Amino acid sequence: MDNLPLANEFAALTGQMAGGFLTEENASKAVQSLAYVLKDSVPNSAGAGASLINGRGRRESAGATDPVVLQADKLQYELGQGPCLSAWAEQRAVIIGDTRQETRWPEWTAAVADLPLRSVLSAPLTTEGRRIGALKVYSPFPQAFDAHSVFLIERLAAPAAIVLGNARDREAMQRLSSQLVEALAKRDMISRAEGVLIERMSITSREAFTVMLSASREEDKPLHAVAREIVSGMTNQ
Amino acid sequence: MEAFDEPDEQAQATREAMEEAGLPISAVWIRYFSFTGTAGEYEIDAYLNGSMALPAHERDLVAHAVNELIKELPPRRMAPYSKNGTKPSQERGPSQEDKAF
Repeated sequence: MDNLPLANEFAALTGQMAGGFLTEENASKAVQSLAYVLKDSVPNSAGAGASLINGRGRRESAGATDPVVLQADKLQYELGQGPCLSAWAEQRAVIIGDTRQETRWPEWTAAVADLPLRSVLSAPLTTEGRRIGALKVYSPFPQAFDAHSVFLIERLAAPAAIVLGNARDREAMQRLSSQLVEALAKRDMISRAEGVLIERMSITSREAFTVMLSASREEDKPLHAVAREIVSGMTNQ
Repeated sequence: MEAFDEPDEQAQATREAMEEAGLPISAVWIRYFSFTGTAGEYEIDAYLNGSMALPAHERDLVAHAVNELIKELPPRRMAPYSKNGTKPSQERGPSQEDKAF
């Protein structure tokens, strides 16, 4: 078989699959441990956690230490604004000294007025140039964060991004492998139809493909559907 | 769809069709692969960018993959009509109806 170029695709796939990926659950646990370190580094903070964000509308919390984190995050996702979304979009740490004085995210600060939080620190989660979200810590007191807090959250953001990026790759790989299984099934069907036509019409492999491609174009049917009909004997090609 | 005798023109027109429809190379390759195509994704990328030649049979499999993916895209949004007057579909017989795209 003249399939050498394909060996590259499969080698890459199997290499990535054998790489020992984290499950989403394990990644969340690892990030939650980092979030606890972050939470404990700030006296009397309300909680910490991560947000997974992408340009296609993904907005999810991971590894949150406390319910108030999930509530404040959810309001950011629903309103489409807030310190974590800005940290992700602008790729820099964001501090809110006091939510009652803050003017940059008016809808979000109004929405969290009833929650026990007054200051926020958020840093982008980036690994190998990919923006995957933001890490954040909330405090019930104003002016809870200083330059040292920024240093600390940025140090913790690096391993959190690696762990979460790794779990995300695994999801993408599962999608890709299910697409490959589907493609292989169609490929098999088309090869079988090719064999049926070669035998039935005494033609070459190329001519069999010409027959199938023409049928697909003229009848406006996908090629694998044409092949399935040939294999199941539904056409008199 | 026109027939192209010039491989370079076929590659360029195929790439332009992909770009217009926003089809990524990975989606085109996996469909081409399901058509028993034997070139890898890297080779298809090189072919579409004019830096590698492919046999006519493989070129047509790439073209067919692109065309199937384009037909699977959601139909473009149409403008709504007012409630006044008759609907356009009542004014003409079914024989005059346009093809689906």
